[in-house]
Amino acid sequence: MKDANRNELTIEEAGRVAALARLKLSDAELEAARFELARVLGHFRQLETVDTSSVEPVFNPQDSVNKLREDTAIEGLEREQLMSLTEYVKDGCLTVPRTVD
Amino acid sequence: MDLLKQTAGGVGLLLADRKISSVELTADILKMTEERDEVLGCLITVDKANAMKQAQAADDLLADVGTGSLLTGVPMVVKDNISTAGIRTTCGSRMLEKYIPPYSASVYSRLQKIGAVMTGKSNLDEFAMGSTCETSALRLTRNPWDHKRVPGGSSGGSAAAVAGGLAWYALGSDTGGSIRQPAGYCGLTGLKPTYGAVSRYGLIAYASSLDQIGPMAQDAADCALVFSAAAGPDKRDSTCVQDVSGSLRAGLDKLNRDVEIVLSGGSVDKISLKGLKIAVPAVWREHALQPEIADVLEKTIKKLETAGAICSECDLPLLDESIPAYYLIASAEASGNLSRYDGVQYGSRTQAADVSDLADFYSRTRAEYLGPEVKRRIMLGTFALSSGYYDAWYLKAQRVRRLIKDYYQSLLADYDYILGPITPATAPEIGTSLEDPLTMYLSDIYTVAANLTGLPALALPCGFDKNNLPIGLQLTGRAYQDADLLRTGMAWQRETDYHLRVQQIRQLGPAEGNTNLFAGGGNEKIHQSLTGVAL
Amino acid sequence: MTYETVIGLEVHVELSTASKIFCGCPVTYGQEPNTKCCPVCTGLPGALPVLNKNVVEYALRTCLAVNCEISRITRFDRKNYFYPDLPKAYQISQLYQPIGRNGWLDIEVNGTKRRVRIHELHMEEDAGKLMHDPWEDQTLVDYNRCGVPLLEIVSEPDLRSAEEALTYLEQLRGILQFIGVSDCRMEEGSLRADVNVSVRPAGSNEFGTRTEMKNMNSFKAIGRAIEKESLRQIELLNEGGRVIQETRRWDENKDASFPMRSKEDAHDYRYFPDPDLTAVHVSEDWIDQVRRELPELPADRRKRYIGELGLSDYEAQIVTGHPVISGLFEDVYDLTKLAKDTASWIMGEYLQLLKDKNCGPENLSLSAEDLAAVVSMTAEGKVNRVTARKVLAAVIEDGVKPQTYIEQHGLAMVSDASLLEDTVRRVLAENPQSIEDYKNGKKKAAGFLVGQAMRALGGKADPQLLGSIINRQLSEA
Repeated sequence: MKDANRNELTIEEAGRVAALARLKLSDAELEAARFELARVLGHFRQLETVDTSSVEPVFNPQDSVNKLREDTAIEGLEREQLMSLTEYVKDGCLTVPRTVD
Repeated sequence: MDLLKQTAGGVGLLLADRKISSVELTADILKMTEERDEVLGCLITVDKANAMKQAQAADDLLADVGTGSLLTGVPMVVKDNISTAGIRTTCGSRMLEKYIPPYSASVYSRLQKIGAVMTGKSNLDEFAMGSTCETSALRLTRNPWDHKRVPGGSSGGSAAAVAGGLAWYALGSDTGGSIRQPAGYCGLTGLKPTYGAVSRYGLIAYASSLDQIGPMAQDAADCALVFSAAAGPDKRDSTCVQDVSGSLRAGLDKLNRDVEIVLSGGSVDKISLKGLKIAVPAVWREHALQPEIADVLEKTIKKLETAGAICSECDLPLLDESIPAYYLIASAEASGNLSRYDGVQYGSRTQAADVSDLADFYSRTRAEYLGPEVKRRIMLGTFALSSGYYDAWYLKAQRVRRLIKDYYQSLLADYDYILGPITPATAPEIGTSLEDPLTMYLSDIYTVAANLTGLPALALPCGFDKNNLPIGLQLTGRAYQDADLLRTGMAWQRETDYHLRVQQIRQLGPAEGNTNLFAGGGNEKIHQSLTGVAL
Repeated sequence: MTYETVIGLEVHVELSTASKIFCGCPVTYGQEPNTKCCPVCTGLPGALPVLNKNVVEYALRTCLAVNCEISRITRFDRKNYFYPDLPKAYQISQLYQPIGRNGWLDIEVNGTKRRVRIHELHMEEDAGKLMHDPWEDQTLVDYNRCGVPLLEIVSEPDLRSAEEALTYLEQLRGILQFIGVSDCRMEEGSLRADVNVSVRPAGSNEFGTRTEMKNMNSFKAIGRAIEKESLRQIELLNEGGRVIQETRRWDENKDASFPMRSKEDAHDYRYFPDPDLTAVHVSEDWIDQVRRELPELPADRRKRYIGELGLSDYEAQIVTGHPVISGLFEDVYDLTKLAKDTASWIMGEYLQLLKDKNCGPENLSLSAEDLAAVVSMTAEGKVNRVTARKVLAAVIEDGVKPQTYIEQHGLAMVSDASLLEDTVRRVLAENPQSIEDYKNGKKKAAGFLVGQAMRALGGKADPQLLGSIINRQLSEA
């Protein structure tokens, strides 16, 4: 557990989180985000006082299992429907800035 | 329009009896919407053509005797995070400002089948993240009770539309209180159903393990009609209950029949508060509640007891901890759910000319088109899941969630319901909440537990503050016993008339420059007569 | 210093289910871009995944086939990263509770057996495909492959040479094909491997720094890449350098690997359990049912062929190399009870046909009955092997029955001893020089005479009988 016992959040850490989340923040925005995050986390540290040893986490309140579907193929969307969601289309494909070599 | 005094069920009866037609009613309500919504700001999209088409279909359905339901042809609105094929679904975000989904949410399809008429898509906090509707990037919604104030959030547009007389019911979604809190602020009844009772397929996710779609309306009977139409298994949502035993359905069908009997002037024995065991957590009395809310709650307890309910004090550990648990889980899930808004396949895309690489492309798109509160929660969630922090923050929160869930379960083994406030205060003024996110988060303290535990919770009007703003109470019930919960809500509303006050608001409409419809001595009489039940 | 190469493989195999892992879109290959998609696999807002039951069944089958322990409770997790081929910006995969763990596969290279441990086996969804737009500086995105079910089979670093790695892969591919979970067409990308390579001084117990080459999809490239990468690392170490942990791209044309540009936030995938999916509980009954339906695995089949049918190791290896071939062998053997002859035909004529036609066993239409007829006729001496080859070709080209073809073309072998005696007598009479040569020790002359007699009989003579008659008449001459 790294740095979890610390209230402070460095600007580098905040920057790392913003980069992971793909949010371009200006220096001022980043500093504001760092401050807010640190403040919220500082308050949220009250969770540490709760003894959760040998407590299983809940990932979904609905605890049924094996929600499976039969392996049957059905028709999906027409390509035109899919491609109508954006104007960035060429030859039946979406286009994005160059990503492959 | 006189019909605004009616509930959805009441209008439904008139439609079913062919005393009015849906086409006329819908045309009227669209006109009303045009007049009122400029001030109220409830709707992001109004689709007149769609509404009139659905109204015609409803009339056809009603002409075919016995095929309609009590909601057939009754105009309503749908929160703008519920996908509607061919109709713009924005989530109140500039990111999805032009997004027209090619498919419909299961719940919308279900309502369409019974002849629902949707006039528009209602405003919400951006991606349902907020408690005031003010984080919406597209509209500012005003509380019909007092235009200086917020309608609550995130389903604020839905609440304001029903309270403002633009619709007879609305679909909202509730992740941490987003149905109950605006219902409370706007003097409405709202149900956060048991997690898994209503399909989430097509609900644009904020936090998948907490989100649930539910009804908002003038009373519990209307909520029962809407919930009954909305709930049911869906093979496209793995987390939607199969209801193998059919007990949820059976309970709803029975409730539906009872509602019809009541609406037709009959009486039903089982709608009663007598003998109900209600837990009242003592901790709420120690909390910093607005004095009138504390007052109203004490009176509510007395009133419940007078009606034959047995109210007992109980402990409620981990109430304070429910806030961090909720915000960590919701934000973590949101950080994943909202990553798809990257400008590639749909939604807005950065127009910057100097994009340096793919990461820059994503980062600019997201920074430009997502709002501050959304970014804040994405940051929090990303942090809680990131390497080295997962155990201490995310998993810890999920473990605390287990403790909360277990405690509620044990409490509900002994009691039928848990009673509490919805919010620490009544609707705040516009522009006073967003400055301090932490304080805003803390105001969700009474509502998030129902989402963490998945339990059904019902918001009911129970009084007014000194500004004549509505105060609500919250009843939390057992999982999948939503029908019983609604029945109890109906019983409460048979004993009281707090829920009727909104009729006046609906009829008055937003007079020019109006800031508080009940302010001043002139309206005090209405207040007196409406709350004239002996307490 | 001598070095040892250490290799670990992460094999991704596309399952041949009818529909995708979390939606009903068909699993296909080579379709027009973005025509096999729906709101779920393209991650439209609000769409939700529902798990395909067959994906779990196929994963269970594979777990049993590669000796994995099966998790009784298994879950899916979200792996978060941004890339244009991943429309949700997360891949639904398994990290915390994968379906299988601690498996193994025995391989044999040059007579040495090695047990390759399998660290884990998990289910996940495939991503889409990106193509470079040659006309503009942009990338084209096709989502058809999004949501195609994958199994990832992660080996421990137990392999020590390219040859071992390829043997492991071949064996694994054979198993996957046998149990019917995948067609494993590497050229279509339905079997791909990430290859981890490191080197260490021979005898050392510690691992060196490894590099990874992702998405390799041919055996040839994998073998070559392992050899070149271990050489590169050894040279680097010998020159006093050190290996950097990195992802490298293998360039087949340049016969070399190159470092990929590293992502600044690589490897913080923020995995967490997918709240849209419920857990899968795998009961003992379910496992038993899958086990009962599991076909005989290639290794068991080989053992049986060697022990019970008397095939050699090599023969057994070849006839169990592919499920279609193995099925053909089984069926032909059942009809003929001639194990050696059947193996000989499959390894000879049959494989040659595949090679000539440049096609896979699944694309060659040859029924077990027809091949069995050809094998039996030859063994019974009704036709000779050269003729039988013609018959087989005709069966495949024209779809005729072997018996019909032989009758129509009068190809039945001449085993009439008196006809052969007469013919040989005539041939000897016409070739006195050959008899002379034979008597003078040129045994080759007999072969010439056999050829002459065979020609006189239109090639249909029973070669054994003819040989013995010629030898007898020569010795009597």
